Amino acid sequence: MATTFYVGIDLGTSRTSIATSTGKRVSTVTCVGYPKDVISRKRLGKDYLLGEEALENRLALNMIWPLADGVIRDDERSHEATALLLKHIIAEGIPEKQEDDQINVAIGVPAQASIHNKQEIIDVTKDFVDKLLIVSEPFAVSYSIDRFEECLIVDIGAGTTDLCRMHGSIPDVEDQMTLKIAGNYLDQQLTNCILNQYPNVQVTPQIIKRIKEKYGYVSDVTDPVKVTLTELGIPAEYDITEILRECCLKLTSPISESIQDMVGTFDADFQQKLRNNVILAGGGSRLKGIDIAVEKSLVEYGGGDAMCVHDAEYCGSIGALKMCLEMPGNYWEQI
Amino acid sequence: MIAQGFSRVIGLGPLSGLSVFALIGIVVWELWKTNTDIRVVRTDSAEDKDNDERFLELNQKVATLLVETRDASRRIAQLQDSILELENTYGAQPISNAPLGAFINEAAKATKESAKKAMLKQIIDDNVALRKKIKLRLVSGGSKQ
Repeated sequence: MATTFYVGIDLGTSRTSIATSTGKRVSTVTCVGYPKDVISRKRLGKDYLLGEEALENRLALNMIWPLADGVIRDDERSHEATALLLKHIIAEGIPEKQEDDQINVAIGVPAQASIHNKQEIIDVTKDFVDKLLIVSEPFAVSYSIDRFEECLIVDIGAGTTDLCRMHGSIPDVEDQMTLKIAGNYLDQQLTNCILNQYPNVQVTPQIIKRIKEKYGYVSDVTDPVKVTLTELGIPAEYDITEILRECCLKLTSPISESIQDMVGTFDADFQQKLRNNVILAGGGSRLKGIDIAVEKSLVEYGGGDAMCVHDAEYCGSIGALKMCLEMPGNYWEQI
Repeated sequence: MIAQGFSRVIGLGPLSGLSVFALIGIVVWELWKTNTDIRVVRTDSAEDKDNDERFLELNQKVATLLVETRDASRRIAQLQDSILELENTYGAQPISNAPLGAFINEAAKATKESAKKAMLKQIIDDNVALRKKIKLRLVSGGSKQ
């Protein structure tokens, strides 16, 4: 008897996570590395490395980051890399799959992804996915936490920040907004500011990402943030407390403005309810104090309440999985 | 001599040297005690801060454990459902014939909520429409929008 497995996928610019109907949760960095030459090929013993393994061996690899701004880049290498990554992560999530078993998938995409972007996802998954549903990423978040009434989902990823007004039904086009200001933008700002203040320190994207994930904050007060960086290989401690706050605010300010836009253009009778139900998700929701910063930005509009989801990493994929599991069987047949 | 001079300077009058030394000793001892007390208070507040942080950390861990326990209970219930379903499906055959994947896989349970059903229907309709548009674009060699 063939079994139908269900998978929810959050294909992100920086990280990809899946949740499966077998109870597995798998997450990896969205990158693929190909050996640079025959020596690295021989040392690594593989034609390509995926995720964290690729990142650890990146000096010997040509790294492909197949997504930009939340969608697959428009080149053959990126298509191939996305297919490899998804195929492997699904196989890791469902090792029990037999040949005649079926895999039904729901995958989240940025709220304003184009038809072309969606077509690319269908193309890269057609060899290992039997039925594929494409859903708006912020809607998957709202499905995961069962919040369909008036609320505003703000999904802060690496490539994009997606905003989506929920009002008890599937959100329309005007209920959704995609900003290209997200985690990667913050990384860039942080790199520039650190190099402005300490021109000779050595920083890499990975170092910046680690600093951001460990210390990132937008609150008014914090303990001093002192990080160890190197200058010509000599390590020293650098105080980046103010730099970090300024950069994080550069990320949250436009997001707060967009939240205000979304609230301001909503049905006036429900604006207050929307303001009081701002839900922050995605990696960016882990910035310390971001909920309070958003609440502060809403004060001049009459105040509001913001909360961060519990499980920022898997919230989207769990929502997508939940959709698969609750989908009536005859609906799937239409795809 | 020194003690008497000192007592005059600080305006204590003609006290004996021994009394002045005793007085200085008391003052020094008081200062030392105050200093020690301040240090104890500082250590206490540092410990309080540590304890607060530890308490917060423990609270977070308890919250995580509660979520995990809920998940585990839900999973156990799902597995029991799967076994029941497999028993019904396989009937007289031994259940051990069923593949492992079938045991651990959570069976789909279509929602009965009409609002959710309507939303899922629209998602399917959107996906069907998307595929139609893609087909049309492929036929007409459409642009990448």
